[in-house]
Amino acid sequence: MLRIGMAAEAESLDPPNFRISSDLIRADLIFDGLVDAAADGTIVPALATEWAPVDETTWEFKLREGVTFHDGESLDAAAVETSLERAAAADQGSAYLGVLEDVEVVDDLTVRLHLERPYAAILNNLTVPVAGIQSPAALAEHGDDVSRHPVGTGPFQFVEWQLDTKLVLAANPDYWGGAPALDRVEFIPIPEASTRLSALRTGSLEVIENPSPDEIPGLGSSGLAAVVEPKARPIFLGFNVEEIPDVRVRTAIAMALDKEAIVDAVLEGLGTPATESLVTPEFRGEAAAVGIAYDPDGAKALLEEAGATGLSLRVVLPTERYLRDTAVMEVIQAQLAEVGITLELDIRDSGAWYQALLDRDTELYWLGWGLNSYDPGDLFTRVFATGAVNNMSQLAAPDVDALVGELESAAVGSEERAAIVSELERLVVEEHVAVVPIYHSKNLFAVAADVEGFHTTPGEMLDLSATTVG
Amino acid sequence: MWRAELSYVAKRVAVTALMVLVVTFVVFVVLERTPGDPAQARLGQNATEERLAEVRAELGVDQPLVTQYVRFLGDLVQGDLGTSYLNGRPVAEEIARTGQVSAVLATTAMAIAVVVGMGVGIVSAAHPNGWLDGLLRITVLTGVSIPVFWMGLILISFAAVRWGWFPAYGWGTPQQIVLPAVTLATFPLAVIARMTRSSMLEALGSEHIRTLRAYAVPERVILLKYALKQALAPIATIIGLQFGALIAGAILTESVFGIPGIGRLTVDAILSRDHPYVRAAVIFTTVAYVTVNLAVDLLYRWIDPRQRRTA
Repeated sequence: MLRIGMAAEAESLDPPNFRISSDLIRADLIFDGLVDAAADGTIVPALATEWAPVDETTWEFKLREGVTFHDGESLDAAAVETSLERAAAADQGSAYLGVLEDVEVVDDLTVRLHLERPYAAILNNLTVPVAGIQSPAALAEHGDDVSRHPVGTGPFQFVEWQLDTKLVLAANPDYWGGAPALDRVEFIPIPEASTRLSALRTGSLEVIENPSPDEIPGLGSSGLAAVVEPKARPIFLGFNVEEIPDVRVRTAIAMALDKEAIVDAVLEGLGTPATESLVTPEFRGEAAAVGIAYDPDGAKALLEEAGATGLSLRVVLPTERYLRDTAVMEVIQAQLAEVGITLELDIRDSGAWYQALLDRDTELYWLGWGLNSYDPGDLFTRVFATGAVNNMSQLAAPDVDALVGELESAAVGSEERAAIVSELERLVVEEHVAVVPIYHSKNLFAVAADVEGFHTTPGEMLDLSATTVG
Repeated sequence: MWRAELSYVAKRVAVTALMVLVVTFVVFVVLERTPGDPAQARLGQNATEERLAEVRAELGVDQPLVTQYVRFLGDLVQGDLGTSYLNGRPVAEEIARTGQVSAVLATTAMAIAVVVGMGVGIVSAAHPNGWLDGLLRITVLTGVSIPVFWMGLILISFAAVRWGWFPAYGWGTPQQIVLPAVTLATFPLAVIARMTRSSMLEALGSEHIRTLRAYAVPERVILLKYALKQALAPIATIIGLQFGALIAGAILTESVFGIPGIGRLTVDAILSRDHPYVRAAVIFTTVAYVTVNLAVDLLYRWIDPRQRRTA
């Protein structure tokens, strides 16, 4: 049995109607999608064994034979139709599958997805847990209450959920990918990080998420181990370009920041300095480095040239969302002070922080963006296209918008797409300087001595396929 | 006599109802003034403007504050506390589920605080300024000064991690209640001990007790019967007041020990802008606090008949 101490209790186990990101970590073990993503972002088979575009807006998928849901129903094209059409209309599901017009049942094991418009990254979006295929019988029986009665085809099946106490999953012995070695998984919500660690120390948990960074060095001496693995979530300092319109000033700020010093001083190996890219390095292949080099003297000269001496700016950041946000920002504050910029820290609880970003009530902002569909193009579409909800920078650049448009028909995994993404990255980071990438974050867990093979995915999910205890 | 008591109780209940009304209004205004959008909290970062507007309408948060408040009061008198913005569960059920846990925790903590606190206070008062009194007074001073949060962490790291006596977290078994109850009891225990000591000393110095001593009544009887009875009224008052500290402490204790109580859930609800839950939780705690104080008040009047005349 693997007992996992989580920072937050789940709110919903209905993937396309998830409420908090932590919901998906649980749901991901219960459900499979048509396709899945490998750690480097390539698309691999899951419930579909083959797929191909029929034309620009139609995709055909062949389903795996002999797969059954946890309730004994068998997986067929009709089940895929029900699940995906429901997900495409759901609050969270529509963010990834909204482009889906309808699902056509060709035969028992063949479906066609008809899209509203060309959208090459549909494959990526189908890897996100919101696109998990649910048992149609369970959907019919429970309706929206399926959030408490999830039935999928995944490696683990739902057993019981005692609110705020524990969520119990059991191994699916008939899993198409082979039955997992673990017989049982429990998710136990314990909001206080030090209590989670104490519970791990007393042996009443086998795994905990987000141990306090201060505790990481001491884990080994008590027989515990840290699991620190790449996470596809770049953390960046963003500019509201309406408030800081002079690109020279933005460039100077980028030049003033020593990312390696920031990571060394505060994150102690729990992040990678983002000196060479905005996009998660694992997803970039051989793309050329992108970034503005650390050059405080150059920064001062550029500020002088722009007539922006004695500048005073305000940054909006959340109290505790990514990792040691306030401490990181204090280092940034000190580095900016070196070039004569006064940075005022406007620290807010996470709801108020995000609202300020949405309202564009910022000069600078602190944000981490998860590439949870393993598609770097998604970042540029959602965060840097003119008028996008999450365009916190208020960037309005025709060259960026044109390339974002080209992404729609550039095949995932193609060189053409990689070149577009690379150019977008250069435009956003070096040319328009809408953001300064600071670091690439990591998934952070601690495990007991007898836990082997516990892994995470860049999309912030758990990989328990090789996990054993004792 | 009874009629006077009844009309007193009726008056207090009316004041309580009025207080709940004022509190709900304040909570309403404060929540409304807090930055952050419940629809946004529910839909997440990819929500579109249209869908946000729809959800705001669905939740009724697009209405003017007064309209929302009147509707809320209308539902409230019918016993309807609404549903959670976040997970759609009926708030009344959630409050019942979490309130029950908190009530057990608070009652256990209070029982420990009253029994041990008064015990310590009486022992101290029996030997004023002796070595035992000195030791107890220092301990009590520590108890008043220790932050609840820290106390919980210390207990976990020793009693759970180092010695393995109790579980570090959770709720449901008798073993799991010990550490949180002791954590939560610490502050009120110390306050009750101090009050008991000082009012016992005052009572012991009274002429009444001196007379009893002159009649050679045994010291133990004087202490536990006559002096304690005299000292009881202020102790009862301070016990009633401790429930306020208990509510504040419960939020921290529940968070530290991962207990599914009303305090921890309220913190989560505030952060996710789940207004119906926050409102209901505040009403619940207000009613609990006022009810306990009313009970203490009545007890006080029963202990000290002089109080009844002033009603």
